[in-house]
Amino acid sequence: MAESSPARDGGAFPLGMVSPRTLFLILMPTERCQFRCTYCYEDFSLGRMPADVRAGVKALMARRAPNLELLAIEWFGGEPLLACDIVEELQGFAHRLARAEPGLRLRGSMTTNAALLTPDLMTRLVAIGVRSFQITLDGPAEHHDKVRRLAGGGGTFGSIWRNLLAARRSSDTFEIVLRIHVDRQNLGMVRGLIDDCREAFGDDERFRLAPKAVRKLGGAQDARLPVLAGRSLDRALAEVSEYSEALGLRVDRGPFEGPRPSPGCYAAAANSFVVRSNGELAKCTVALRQSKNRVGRLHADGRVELDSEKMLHWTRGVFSGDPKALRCPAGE
Amino acid sequence: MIQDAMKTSGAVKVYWNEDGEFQIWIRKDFHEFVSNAAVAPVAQPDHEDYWSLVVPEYDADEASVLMGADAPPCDPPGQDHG
Repeated sequence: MAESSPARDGGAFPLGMVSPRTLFLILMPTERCQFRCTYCYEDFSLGRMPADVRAGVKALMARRAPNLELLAIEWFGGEPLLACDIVEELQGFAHRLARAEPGLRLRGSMTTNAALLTPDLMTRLVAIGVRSFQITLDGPAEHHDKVRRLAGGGGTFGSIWRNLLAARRSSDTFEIVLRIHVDRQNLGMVRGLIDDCREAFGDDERFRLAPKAVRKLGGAQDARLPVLAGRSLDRALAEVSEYSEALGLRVDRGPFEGPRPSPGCYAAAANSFVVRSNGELAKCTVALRQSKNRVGRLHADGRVELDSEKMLHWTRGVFSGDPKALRCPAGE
Repeated sequence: MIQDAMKTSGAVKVYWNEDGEFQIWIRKDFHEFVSNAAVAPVAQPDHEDYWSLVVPEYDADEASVLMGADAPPCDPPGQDHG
């Protein structure tokens, strides 16, 4: 039990971020990855989610399902498709729960490098409710392959692009958000990638572009990253978005803009949890090494053990209405 | 608004139960701050001074906006982590 902190203003209470009828789970079936992207902040130290953690996830979902209106599962890692058997096991379980509970809506999404997202696997994932995929490209092949190499060496653009083209040919119902990274090095060539995207996916409404900045998120090579900042960054993202839209591509401007802006980051929501592959519960998918982000543990019987003081820190924006705390509660 | 009640220490308590469900308890003498939402007695006898906030129906699309629009890793607005 924790007492709430004082409010700064009386803005609308974001019910979607506190309702017990909604549960957001960000599941990390493995924290290993076959890529070694120059800007990655993860340390890949945790492997596959063991059986007792998987049992805990299933028990939690089963206990909550009768009272839920929305169960949203986001697959993250590491590279989640390195443990696609776990994805299919847990997502399949959730899909069966949703079919048994008419009032429960299941949403599945995945952040994946897509190197293993073959057409057969894509079809199987879509069938159990994973319908939204975020896939990153870092420029045309020559540049992408310099910054996103396999752990054992070698480029990655070809495998990603091949699977994207295969997805384009399929009749599956999905959406793919192509996260287009922008930094000082690739800014001059990113239009070439967008031209390629226009050619390959421009007439397919299942594909959208999301221009994003390469950022220093705590990785070993942060000091050497050619990041854009300030007005240069704003200008670059605006130019990439405008160029894409001029070609007829659909563009995501970001979660806090547009006609239906998000009230806040998932990490600021009282009903959102990251389940790490070792069963630890976290709030933020970036601040993985910070102790304040270790907010609890999921037990094998589905019990959730939480540190209320830490949870209150992450969710403080819900109560204060402070836009900064809502948008990025990882900040002080 | 509930945020107004929160300006007084002890008027509002928050709690996550073993199912990870978020609970909001409001001291009875602050009930007027939540007149637009349902309240119910708190089950625990040692907290009989509090009522439990029952989150009213809301547009499920509002919740949907939370995830998917910016899937992890996030794009922290205007700052770097690290």
